Amino acid sequence: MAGVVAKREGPQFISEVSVRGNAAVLDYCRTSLSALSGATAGILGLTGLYGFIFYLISAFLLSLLLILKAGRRWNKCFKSRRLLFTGGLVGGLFTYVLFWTFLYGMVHVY
Amino acid sequence: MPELLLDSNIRLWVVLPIVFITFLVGVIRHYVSILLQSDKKLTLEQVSDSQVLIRSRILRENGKYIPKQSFLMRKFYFNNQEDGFFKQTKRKVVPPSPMTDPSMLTDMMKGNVTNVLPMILIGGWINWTFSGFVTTKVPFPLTLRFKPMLQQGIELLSLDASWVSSASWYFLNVFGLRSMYSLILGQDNGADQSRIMQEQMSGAAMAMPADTNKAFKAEWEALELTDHQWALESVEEDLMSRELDLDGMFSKELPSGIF
Repeated sequence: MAGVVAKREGPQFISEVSVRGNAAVLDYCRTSLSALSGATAGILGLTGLYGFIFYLISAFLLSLLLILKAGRRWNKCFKSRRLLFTGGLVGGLFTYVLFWTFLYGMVHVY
Repeated sequence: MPELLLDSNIRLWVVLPIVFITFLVGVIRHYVSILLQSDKKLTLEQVSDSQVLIRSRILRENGKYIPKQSFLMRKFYFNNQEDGFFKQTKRKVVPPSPMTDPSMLTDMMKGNVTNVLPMILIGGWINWTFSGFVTTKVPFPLTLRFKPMLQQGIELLSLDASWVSSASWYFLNVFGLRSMYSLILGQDNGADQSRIMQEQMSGAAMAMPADTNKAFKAEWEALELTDHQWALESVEEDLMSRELDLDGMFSKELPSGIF
């Protein structure tokens, strides 16, 4: 009965439902943040480069907060921490630009 | 940069209506796609076949956690030369290709119609209705190359490229509201175009094995190749040699994998 001993690696039992749910939660947070920060940028009257820098700063802050919330058990919830940083950035960018333009138009142009 | 003063009526009757139109069209598209979903008729045989394939796949992936005898027993059930399941079962299946099978064709057409057509129609209508005036200003500077694209209908040569027409405001709405739909309509909503297009592109690659014979054959080969690697060989020494941390194991609340 000699089988080759297989090296046991990390968590192998991954529940599909949980992975999808966690990704949905991340998406939700990212979208809400983009909308709110876009509105803020519009009201504040940021233009051009400042606006994009503001988006990157707020996205980075969101990542920090998410990592803080995941704490030491991020291993149980996510495959890699990189996903918390870069997930949904481009989609968030579009939402950000939309709200930014909208509020900027509302407040500063009219 | 000359600051233009725009009529408040534009704000009330152009900017806001375009936002509402885009959003509501998306919501309507979601519900229409739900209504138009064709019934997928599944027979009992199809369901049991797909379950068998799933069971065989689980056996392949997790075989190393059961004793060798059990693994071989299950493998024998599937792959035996004379009466193994994958060898014996031949299903009478006509593989439906996308061109000949009517249901798949109508599905593709429905997908295209509900997604692309409204966007084009409404974009054209908005361009026709709200044309000839400046709608809003985008907060970031754009180069002159974008002018003809974004300022359709405005014939001012010296106007900044940041002042855009209503058609470009409509497209900005379409792209921006895409992620908002998943906030409001929940996951799997029919209003999110980008996801559907992605699925269409990857769906062509993973054609549904309605051809179960081929799927069985592939599964048989894969199972043949799988070897039993006993991952729990030295489990007794492993567990005994380490400090067993059973502190939290029997408490009521276990940390779950839900974020």
